[in-house]
Amino acid sequence: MVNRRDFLKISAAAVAGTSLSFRVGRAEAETGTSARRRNPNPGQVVTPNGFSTFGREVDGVRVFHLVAEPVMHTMTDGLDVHMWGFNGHTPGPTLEAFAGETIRIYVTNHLPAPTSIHWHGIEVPNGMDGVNGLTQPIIEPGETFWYEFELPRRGTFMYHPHSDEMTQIGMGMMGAIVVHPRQPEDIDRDFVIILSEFAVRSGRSRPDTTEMVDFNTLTMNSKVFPGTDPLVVQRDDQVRIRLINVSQMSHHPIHLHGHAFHITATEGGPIPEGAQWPETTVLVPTGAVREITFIADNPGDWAFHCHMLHHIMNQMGHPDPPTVGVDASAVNEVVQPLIPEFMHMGEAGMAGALHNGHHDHAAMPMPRNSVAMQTTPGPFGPIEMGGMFTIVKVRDQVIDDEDPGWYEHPDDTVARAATDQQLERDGIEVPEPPEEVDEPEPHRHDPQDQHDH
Amino acid sequence: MPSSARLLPPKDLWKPPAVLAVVLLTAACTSQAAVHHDRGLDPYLQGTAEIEEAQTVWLDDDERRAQVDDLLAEPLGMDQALQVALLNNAGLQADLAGIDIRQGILRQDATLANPELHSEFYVIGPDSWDLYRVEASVEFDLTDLLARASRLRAASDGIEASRAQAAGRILDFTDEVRRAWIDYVAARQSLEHQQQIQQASEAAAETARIYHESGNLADDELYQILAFSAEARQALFHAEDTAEDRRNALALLLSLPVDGNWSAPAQLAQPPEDLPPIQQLEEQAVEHSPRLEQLELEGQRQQALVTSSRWQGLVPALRLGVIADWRAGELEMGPTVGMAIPLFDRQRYERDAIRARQVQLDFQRDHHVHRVRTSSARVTRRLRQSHRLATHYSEEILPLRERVVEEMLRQYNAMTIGIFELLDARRTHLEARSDYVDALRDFWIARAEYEHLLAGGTLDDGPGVGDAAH
Ligand SMILES: [Cu+2]
Repeated sequence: MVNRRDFLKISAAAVAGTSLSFRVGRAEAETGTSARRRNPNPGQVVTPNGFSTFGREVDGVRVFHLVAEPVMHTMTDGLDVHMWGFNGHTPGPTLEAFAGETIRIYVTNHLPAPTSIHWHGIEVPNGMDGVNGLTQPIIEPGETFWYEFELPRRGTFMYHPHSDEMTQIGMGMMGAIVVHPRQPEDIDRDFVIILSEFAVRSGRSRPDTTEMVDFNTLTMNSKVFPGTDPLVVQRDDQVRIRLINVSQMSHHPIHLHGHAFHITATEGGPIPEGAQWPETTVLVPTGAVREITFIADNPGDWAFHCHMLHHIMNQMGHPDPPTVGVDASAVNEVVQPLIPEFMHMGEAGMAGALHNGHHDHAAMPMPRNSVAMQTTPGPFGPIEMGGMFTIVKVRDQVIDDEDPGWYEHPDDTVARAATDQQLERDGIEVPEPPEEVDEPEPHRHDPQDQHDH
Repeated sequence: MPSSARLLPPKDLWKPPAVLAVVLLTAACTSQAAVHHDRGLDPYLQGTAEIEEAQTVWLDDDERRAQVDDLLAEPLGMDQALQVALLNNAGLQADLAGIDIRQGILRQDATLANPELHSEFYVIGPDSWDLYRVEASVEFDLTDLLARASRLRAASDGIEASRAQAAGRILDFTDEVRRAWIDYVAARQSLEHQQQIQQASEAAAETARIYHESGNLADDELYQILAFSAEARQALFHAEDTAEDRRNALALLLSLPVDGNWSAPAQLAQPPEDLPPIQQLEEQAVEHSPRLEQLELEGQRQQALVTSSRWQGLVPALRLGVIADWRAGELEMGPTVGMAIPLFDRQRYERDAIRARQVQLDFQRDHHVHRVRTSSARVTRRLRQSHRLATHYSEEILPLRERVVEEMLRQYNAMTIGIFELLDARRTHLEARSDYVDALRDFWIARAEYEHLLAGGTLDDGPGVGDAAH
C-alpha cells in the first residue's frame, strides 16, 4: 500500500508551498502524528490516506490555515490526476477541535479561480456560512479570508467550497471537521472517511467537472482501491468510522463484512441509543454524515465497501454492446485478420477477462494513466475490486498501527474445493456438467432468412 | 526557341524502312523508349529529353518480340511498360508510317522534270522515197532546273519538320502510356484497399451477427450494421470496375491482350522526399519542344517554297535544247530555245497561300510558346501541391490513424469502448490509406507531366484552338 509514500508526498508538497506564516497539518504530516495511534489522546481521529490536525491555540482560540491549491494526486499506482485540494492534498486536513471552542480558520486562495468555504453541518453565524454571493464576497485568487465561529456541539462535519461547486468539489476540494466532546469517549479507534466520486476517463489525468451523472472513479479519501489504506484495528477494539459523503450525485450504501454495527450519529447529532438498530450496511446520502460504531471482535481481513456494484470498479466504462455471452473465439476469428492484437473481452464478464492474464499489460496493452480493468494481487489470487473499497484488518495484536499484511487463517477455515469424501458424507450429488454450454435454440428471427421469402 | 544545334542538316541518305530501335534514356526517370522503325528520329528523340546516354539498337522482328516477351516476364514497371508500348503499339507504328508517306510525297515534289525529246519524220514526195527528212530535238526545262535548289531545300525542311512532328507524337504517346500505367497501378492499389475496407465492414457485419445471436444486439442495431456493410460494398464494385477499365486502357496502349498474362506492380512508390528541380522547367520545356522545332522547320520550308515559286512564276518557262535535222544524208544541227510569254504570273495565288501559311505558323508558334509556359506553371503547382498532400498523408494522417487504432484497442481492452467503435477506427484508418492512394496517384501523374514537359511536351488540356495543321 502506498501510505508511507503518500506521507512523504504530502510533506514535500506542504514544504514546497509554504511561504506563509504557518500551516496546520504540515507539522502533523511531518511529525507523523496522523499515523494510526492506538488509544489516542482524547478524540484523536485517523484520516486514512490523509492527515488530521488540532491546529494551534492562540489566546484561547483554535487556529487553522487552509491553502486552497492545485495538487497532483495519485489515486492509486498508475492513476495520477490533476486535482484541487488543501495544503497540498485532497482531501484537505481533518480539522479537529472540542465542543464549545472557538475556531478561527484562515483560507488562502491559491487556485486559479475565486472560491469560498462552507462549514457543512455546523451552526455558524450566517455571515460565516461561506456561501458565495449569499453570505460573503468571493475569495479572489491570492486573497486570504478568515472565518471565526464557536463550535456549539460535538459531531462530524465537512468543509467544501460553496462556489462553482461542480468544478471545485469535482476537482477534489473537501475536508472533514471532527468536533470532540469535552469528556473522553469509550472509543479505541476513530476513523474518518470522505466518500466522493469523479469522472476521470480512462487515459486522462483530469476529472471532467462538467459531468453530471456518469462518475467512474469512486473514492474514499480521494483514493481508489488498492490505493486505500486499510483500517487496522485490534481485536475487541471499540471502533468508530465517520462516513462523510461529498459525492456529486451518488448515495453510497457502505457495507461492512464480518460485523454488525450501529449508526450512532449523523451530522445533525447523536442518535439516542434507543433509536439505534443494528445494521451491516449504512446508506450515506450525499451531503450527509453517518457515524457507525462496532466492536471488532471477528479477526480477519474484512471488506468495507460501497454496495453499488459499479462503485467498486475502477474507471468503469460501458462498452456497447455488452459482451457477456458472446462467442469470443468466433469474434476473434473475424476480427484478428483486421487487428492482429485483438482479443475479445468480457464474454464471461469482467472477472473472466481480469483472470485471463488481462492485467498483464505487455500482452494486453492498456491506456496510459488508467487503472481500468486492473486487479490487485491478493493472498488467494487477483482481487478484482477497485474504487470505493477498503479493508478493515482486525488482528489479535497490532504493533505501531502497521499494516499487518494478509490475514493468516486458522487451519480449515478457508473455503476451498470440496473433496469427494465430503460430498459423499453429506449426500451431495453433483450433476454432470453439460458437454457444451448448449443453450436451447431460441426462436429467432434470422435476418438472412428474409431474403428467401 | 529551338536551339540552332537542333536545326540539323538534311539527311541526304534516307534509310530504307529498316528494323531499327532507338533506345533513349531520359535523365529524369531513365525510362527507355524503343522505336521499332527508325525514321531518322533519334536525334530529335535525343533532343526531346534530358539525355544522359542514348544508344541505338538494331532489332529485327524476332528480336523485338523476344524483347517484349522478356519485358512481360516481370511485373511491368513504368519504364518497362513504356518500352513495350513503343515496341509493340501498332497505332504508333501506323502514325510513324504516316511520316514515311509524307516524306515520300515531299521527295516526289523535289524531283527534276525529265528532258523532252521531240522528233518529226517527213517524206517529201510521194514518188521519191529518198526524199525524206528526220528532225529531232531534246529540250530541257531550265526554269525547273533553276528552281531545283530551293525545292530541294523545301523538301528537306519538310522532312525534318515531319520528323519533329513524329518526335512530338512519340512524346505524347509516352505521356499517355505513363498516365495509363499510373492510373492502372493506382486503380489496382485502390481496389486492394477497398477490399480491405470491405473486409473491415464485413468483419463488423459478422461480429454483429455473432452479437445478435448471443442476444447482445437488437434487430435494429444488427440491420444498421448490415446495411452499412452492404453500402460499403458499392465502393468495392466501383473500384473493381475502375481497375478493369484502367487495365483495358493500358492494354490498348501496350497492344497487349486485356486478359493476357502480364502484370504491373501492386502499388505506387512513396513520393520522394524532395521535389525534382523545377526552376528551369519552362526554359527546358521551350528548348526541347518538338512542336516548336516543327513549326520552325515548317517556316523554313515555306521560305524555300516561296523562292521556288518565284522562279517558276516570274522567270518565264525557258526551255533549251538541241535540234538535229537529217535530210537526204545530210545532217544539220542547231540549238532550240522555247519560252513562255510571261503575260500572267501563274504562281501568284500559290505564293499568297504560302504567305498566309507563314502568318499562320507565326501565330501557332506564339500560341505554343504560351501554352508551354502555362503548362510549366500548372505542372509546377500540381507537383508541389500533390507532393505536399501525399507527404501529409504518409507522414501525418496515416501514422495518426494507425495510432488511433492502437489507442482504441487499449480502450477496448480497458472495456471502456465497444467492439464496433474499435472496428470503426480500423475502417477509418483503411479509408485514409485508400485516400492516400488518390494523393499518390495525383503526385505521380504530376510527376509524369513534369517529365513530359522537360522532354518538350505540354499539357493537352489547354484551349483547343490554334493547332489546325496546314
Ligand atoms: Cu457507492
